[in-house]
Amino acid sequence: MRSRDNDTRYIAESLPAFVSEADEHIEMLEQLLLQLEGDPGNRELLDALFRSAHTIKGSAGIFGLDPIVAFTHHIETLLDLMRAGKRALTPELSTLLLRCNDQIRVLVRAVQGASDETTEDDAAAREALVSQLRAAYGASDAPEPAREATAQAAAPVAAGGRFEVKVEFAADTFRNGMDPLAILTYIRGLGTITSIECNATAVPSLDDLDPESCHLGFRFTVETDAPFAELEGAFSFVREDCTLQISAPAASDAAPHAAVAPQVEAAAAVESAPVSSAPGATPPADARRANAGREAARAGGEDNRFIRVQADRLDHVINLLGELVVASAGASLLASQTRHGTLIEASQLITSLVEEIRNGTLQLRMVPIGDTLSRFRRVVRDTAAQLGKDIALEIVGGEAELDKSVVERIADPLMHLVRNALDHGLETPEQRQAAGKTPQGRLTLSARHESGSILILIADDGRGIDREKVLARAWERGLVERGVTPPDAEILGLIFEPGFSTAEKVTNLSGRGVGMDVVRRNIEALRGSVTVNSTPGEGTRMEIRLPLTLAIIDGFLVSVGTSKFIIPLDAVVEVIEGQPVTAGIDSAGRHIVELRGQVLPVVSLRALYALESEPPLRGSVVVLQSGGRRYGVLVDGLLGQHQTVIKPLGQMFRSLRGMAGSSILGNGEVALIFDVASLCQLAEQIPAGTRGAPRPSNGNAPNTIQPIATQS
Amino acid sequence: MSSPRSLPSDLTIVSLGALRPKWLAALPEAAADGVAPSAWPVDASGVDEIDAAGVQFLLALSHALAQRRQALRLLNPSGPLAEACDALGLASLLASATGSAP
Repeated sequence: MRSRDNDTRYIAESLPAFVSEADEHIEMLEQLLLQLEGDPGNRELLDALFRSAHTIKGSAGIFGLDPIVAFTHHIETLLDLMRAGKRALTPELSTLLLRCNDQIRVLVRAVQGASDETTEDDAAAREALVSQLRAAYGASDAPEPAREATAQAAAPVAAGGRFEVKVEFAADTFRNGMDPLAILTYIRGLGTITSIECNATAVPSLDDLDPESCHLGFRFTVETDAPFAELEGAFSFVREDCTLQISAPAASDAAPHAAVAPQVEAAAAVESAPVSSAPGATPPADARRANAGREAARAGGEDNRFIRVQADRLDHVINLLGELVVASAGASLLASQTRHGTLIEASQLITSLVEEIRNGTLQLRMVPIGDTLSRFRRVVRDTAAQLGKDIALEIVGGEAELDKSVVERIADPLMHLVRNALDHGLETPEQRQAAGKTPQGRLTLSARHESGSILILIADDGRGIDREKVLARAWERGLVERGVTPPDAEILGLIFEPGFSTAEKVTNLSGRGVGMDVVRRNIEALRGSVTVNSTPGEGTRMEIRLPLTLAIIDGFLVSVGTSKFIIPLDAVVEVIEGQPVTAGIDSAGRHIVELRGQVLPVVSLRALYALESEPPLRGSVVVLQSGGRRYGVLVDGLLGQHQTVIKPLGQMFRSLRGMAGSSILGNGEVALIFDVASLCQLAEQIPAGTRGAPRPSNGNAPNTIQPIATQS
Repeated sequence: MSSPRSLPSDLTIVSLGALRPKWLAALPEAAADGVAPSAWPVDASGVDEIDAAGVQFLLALSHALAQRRQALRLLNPSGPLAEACDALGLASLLASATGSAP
């Protein structure tokens, strides 16, 4: 107001931080509510819940986001009563609070969009929720029904006009050094106070007066060009010490007609509140405020342990780090060529430091997947209720970490799979009992690290996938030639084909059959894979395998002829040296090696990728682990560990199977990076003699691919 | 009618604590039932500084007088006092006083 430009700039700069913080708190609110459902009396959860709501309200207040402040205030009031033990968290209340939380999210989204994107529907929904909240906390228990009228008014009508203001100052106002006279004088500076009325009825007689306690209340009308926020800002210093209610310009054209009516209602409801408040039922206002202050302080302390960094900056550092890794590899190569002992030592030290920096920096981007998984509690709760199913969700291994960008992009596919399990997989309690199962279905989401990737499992104990139905549908859709019955695993894989759906009736939840192929595509775009296992009558198990990061890995450098390849080091189990390179290899490059009494399938890279070079007499087999399986890769030479900065493959090579990306070596050569899981499939699946080399999936490229490793 | 009392120059929260006992002591006895309320004049010309607490003090004084069937009459309100009453929507505090003046 005094320096409006500065304020505007500050708000513009800080708003993203507010949005991301608010998002976190909204997420936390949801999780806490869901946890509270299972443990209604848990004081710590309740406190944390209140804290989150309070923080959202507080930060929104700083930014003058009055709709959020006003709306959250009601939630806070209810939570406060719950903390005081005056309300218990019933399932109905929990649902109400969850829906309110959704509305906070809508409001925050609107802020993010820098416009009033909240529709009238949303406003109406909020209005309805506010009345429900009010009913839930009960007017008599709510001594501070402050500023609800601002909820609808402030956002759409920020311009000036005629405002009706009603303010009751709390007893401590004077003691806190605040003077209502000064505030009113300030407001006079903003515009014209056309009428003002002092409510002096609360002022006691001099006999009983404590001159330092404030008993004043005012109701006035002000005509001003100042925006709502500025008018409200006049009270910012006494916000904790007053009950404030500002009705926005009633006669403004900008105000949507529909929004006006509920506004008046809200105001009316508010007024009745303080009047009917029974002194006994009112929690001591001072104690509440002190409490709120403490909570805020505590929340602030927790925040101090984190530094918020813009993702862009972090990405920039990681990009530079990629270059640094490549440069340091080049330097250390040159150093080793000089055979200068001290130089080599120095370069080794640099290399190991760079490695540490790399690990540390990548760690900065790692976030636990648990946050994403716990989001599904709400989905499961609501969807199950909607479908009349009783489903317990179990989340295991939420602490497993992976790159933030991967986490963000996996949420949608996961959501689809979870909904699918809820809708199609799990049965109703009656169906389950008829099948001799417990009435409550079980859905498990789990995550764990496994050889350089993360494995996410979505398992249900539902009816499983009906292979015959899948097959019948595949025949019908022409996905499989009629009458042909592919192997079991392939039948299940058909559900990921475009346009496939086995649901007998389409529900609005998961099924028009448009999703599963998209799910697979999205996962594959992250260099991940998805597989499905299902036992009829016992359940379905989806396995999603994802790389931990999209940026840098520890690699194991191998060579075939002049070509260089990198295998993710995490996948390397052991190396067998001195293997014959040509003997017993079929045309697809496969053969078998006996390793400690066990049969190990081995694939020859030379044969697989049709590399034209003279094979040495003896090569090495690198034993790799993918999922539960082990297989070997036959190579000519082992060049050792290599920090690998992953560069995406160009469009042309996107379809190259078995490859995950490329990397530039210290000497400027290009090496291809293997995708261990898909290489494993190649090693196992290529029918002998049918395909010389893995085909690009578009099918019309030549069926042998020259490696690009030496072409740069 | 007793002689007009004078409001001090400082009628802010700082001085009110000390003022209260003084003014309580000066309050008249309650008039007998059936007697018409009489005015209780106070010289208000000396008020230089006043805040909302000071105005509230005057309201409390007026309430105390009302209980004793007396009416507070602020004589010659100073500029600051008049402005404060005006700003707080309490012009009546002055108006009723001057209006009922004989």
